[in-house]
Amino acid sequence: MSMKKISTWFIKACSLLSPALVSGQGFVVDQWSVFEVDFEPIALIRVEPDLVVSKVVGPQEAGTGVLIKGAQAGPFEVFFTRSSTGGTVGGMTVSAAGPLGMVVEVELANLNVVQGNFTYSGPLTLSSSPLPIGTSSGGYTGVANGVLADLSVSTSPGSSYSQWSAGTHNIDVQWQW
Amino acid sequence: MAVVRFALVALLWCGTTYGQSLIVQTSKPQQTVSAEDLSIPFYAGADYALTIDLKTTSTISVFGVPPEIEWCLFARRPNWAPNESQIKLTPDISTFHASPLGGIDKSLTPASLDAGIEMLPVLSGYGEVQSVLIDWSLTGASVLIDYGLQDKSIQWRLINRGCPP
Repeated sequence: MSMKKISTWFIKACSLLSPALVSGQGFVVDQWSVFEVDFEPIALIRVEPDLVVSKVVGPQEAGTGVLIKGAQAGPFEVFFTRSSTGGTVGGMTVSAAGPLGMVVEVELANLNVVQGNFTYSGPLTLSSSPLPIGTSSGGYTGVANGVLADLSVSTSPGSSYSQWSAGTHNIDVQWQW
Repeated sequence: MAVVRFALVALLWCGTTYGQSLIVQTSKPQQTVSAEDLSIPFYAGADYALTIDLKTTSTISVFGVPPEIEWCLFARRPNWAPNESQIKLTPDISTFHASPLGGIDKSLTPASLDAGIEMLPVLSGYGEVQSVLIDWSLTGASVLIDYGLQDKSIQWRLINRGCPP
């Protein structure tokens, strides 16, 4: 058999048999993709509303102490989100941004921790130094997502009247870890 | 005898010239999830959005498959922890242009890959496909879970049969 005949026979065979071979041929092909997702730490806090007004009722008659019942400002709502990434223990602090000229107690009432673990430390007397009002902890690092709380501010009776004046006072709320 | 041997080898050779190939090119494989991805971005009190769109995309190409042959592209993510979020793969069929050489099935729903060894269908078609984009997104993430840096892989598998219903 000459090479020419062999070549012709080969081409015919291929053209006839290839579709049949391919149709009956099973295949499994694998590939891989490698990727990386980095979750950044998140720490956000928000207080709503950003301004509340408190009216102080004056004494009914001369010689009577002022603010026997005290006054209240609020309630505020505090929202915060703290992702688990970046630490295991954190806390919320509050402080007065400037001189208050009065005694102010801050408390988180009606605390509603939607998810996570948040421990309320109890009411505290506001000062210019940040004081912890709540902490988060646990065996896992994901804590305190969506904490919703009323933040009420009240004055104590018997405060020095001479130090009181109408004005705007700021309270700082911080979330730390 | 030599001629017969040559013919057999030649037949085997021409039967294997139709080698199937799957090419997966993944762009932007490094992504960061941040406060921008909360259900309301940068909003205290919010958790991650139900679906976080990643900028990662994969371009799929299939070659060496005759037009009459159906195939299914599967994917799985091995070596993932059970509490990790899901990866959702959504074929962007608008990026595909049909040709006489092949096509894709446009009725598939996106595949959400949980941790595990099970292969899930992502895309079905027939014949050759020059390119079709697959968009990546992340679902089921929670700020309560410390994911850290996730360095993971996805296995793609092309099989010569239609995808299961």
